[in-house]
Amino acid sequence: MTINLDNTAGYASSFLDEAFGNLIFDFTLENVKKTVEIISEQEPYWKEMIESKTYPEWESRRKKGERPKITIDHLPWYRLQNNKIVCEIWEQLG
Amino acid sequence: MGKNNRKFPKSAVSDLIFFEKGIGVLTAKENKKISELIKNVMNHLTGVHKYCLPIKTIILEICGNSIEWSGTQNRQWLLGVQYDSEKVTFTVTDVGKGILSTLHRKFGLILKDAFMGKSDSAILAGAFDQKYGSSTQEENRNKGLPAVKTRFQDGSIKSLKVLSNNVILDFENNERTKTFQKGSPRFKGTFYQWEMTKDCIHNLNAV
Repeated sequence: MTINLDNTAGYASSFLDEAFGNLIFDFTLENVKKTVEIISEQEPYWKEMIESKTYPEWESRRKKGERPKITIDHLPWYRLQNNKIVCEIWEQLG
Repeated sequence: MGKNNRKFPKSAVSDLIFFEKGIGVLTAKENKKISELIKNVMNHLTGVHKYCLPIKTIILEICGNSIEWSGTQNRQWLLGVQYDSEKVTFTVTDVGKGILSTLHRKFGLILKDAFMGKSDSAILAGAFDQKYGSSTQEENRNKGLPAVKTRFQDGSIKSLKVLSNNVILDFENNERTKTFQKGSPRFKGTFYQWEMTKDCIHNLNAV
């Protein structure tokens, strides 16, 4: 899967950190690295930040079981669980 | 009024956008307004009325920071742009709690630094070096302020100054960075100011 961040209305790094970080939390660093390619030629800093900071920080967080915080309730989403992809509401407010 | 009761000179042109940040996110309408303002900036500096993603990123980093670090509801922030000959001055006024007050509230590490005798200006400078947040479980972990500093260091923006609570950081001249004495008036919020010239646009594109 290729995610192209160019020619967009823009992102704050906090959003990118949460978006890609949760991807790591849900599918592991190994799987994300194998399947996701990021393009960010207009803002090369983003790709560098995601791959060198967000990925290892969230992988460490995943291994420690430090669950992500949510600010609103979400619809069910997919997470890799015991080698199976399961769709559930994994985190809830409060 | 200036000296001898003369009026201050009016700037040639300026833009001002006012945001309510109570809902914690930027609306599509506000986002569009910022993009239009960026086109005006590009037109002023280069003669071409076009969008520039890296300028938007800087504003979004500061705006994201204003929303996420404020810890307040129903407060406002203002984005102002003044067009002078061959340069543009940006100001962002965020009337939240201010970065230092929020850091004090959120992170234990800062308390340790304060006990070790670190000045508030050194602590605020540390936030721009991602010193606070990376070792905690806080979301986003303070990547926005370091991104703004990186843009200053690579020459994409100039004359970056940040006033927050009792500290003013002058990134161009560290001698002008200072922590105001106890008892001095404090700014409840954060004020950012930076400039851009045609050279900055060149540096943005070179990054």
